Amino acid sequence: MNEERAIRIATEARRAWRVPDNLALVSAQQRIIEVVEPIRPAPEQPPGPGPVRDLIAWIVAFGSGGVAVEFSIDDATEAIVRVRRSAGAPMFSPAKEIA
Amino acid sequence: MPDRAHSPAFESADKFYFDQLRRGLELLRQDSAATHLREHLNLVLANETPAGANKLLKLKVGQRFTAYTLRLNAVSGEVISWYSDFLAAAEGGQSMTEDEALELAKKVASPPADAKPGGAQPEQAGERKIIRVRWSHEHGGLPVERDFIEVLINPSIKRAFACTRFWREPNLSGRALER
Repeated sequence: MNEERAIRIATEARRAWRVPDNLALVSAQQRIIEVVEPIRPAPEQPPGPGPVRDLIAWIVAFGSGGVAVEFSIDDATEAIVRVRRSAGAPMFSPAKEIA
Repeated sequence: MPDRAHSPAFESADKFYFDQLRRGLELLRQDSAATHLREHLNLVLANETPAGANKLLKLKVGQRFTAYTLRLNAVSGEVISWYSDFLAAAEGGQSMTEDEALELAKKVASPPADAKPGGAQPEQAGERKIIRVRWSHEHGGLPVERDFIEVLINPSIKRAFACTRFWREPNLSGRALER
């Protein structure tokens, strides 16, 4: 996956994750990140101790005025494996929205 | 020295002693300080002898003057960080260049070959001057998120007083493991 593809996946996910329209693309960077199995992109509570693995991910960040939302996309599967937001960024996971 | 872990009498005495101190602080309207008592004082059992149907305990009170904090990885046993209160606060009247600090930090932390130097930064920490030396982790040209090594140096005594090391060999096998 290249940078352009990663940005497109993150941009398409914005609506489902309720990322405010005023947040602009800030950066896209490839990193090795650690994920806890089973992967839950945005757990309501931090995951406790458990089996972990590393993966190469594209980290795509949107932000404005100190508010930021960051998508981590698995380079191998193109799945969103982590969504993080700064304090003050309103956002709900799709699962929660349906419930 | 008697084994305090197997002495119910010691546990009773210990509780009685700290309850007395806590009540004393409450009378002085220092309730909030009471919660920190055990951080600064501890009782040591010096002797335990039968006294009729009871036991007579002799106790010593220890007071903590400085702290040495060590954090260990519960799975691997590796040291994650250490911090010496005494070395942080010591005043020796010396000074160090940033290059000297970097050399000292290398000896303390032994950074792996793939550690990326972040330089030695002099900083003001309250009234003290410190030097912070940091490395980040790159694997195959990619940053490894969360990994870093950091050494804090007290230049006035030319000694490191803290070291933190979050470092892992990336597990890109696709199989999860305990770390």
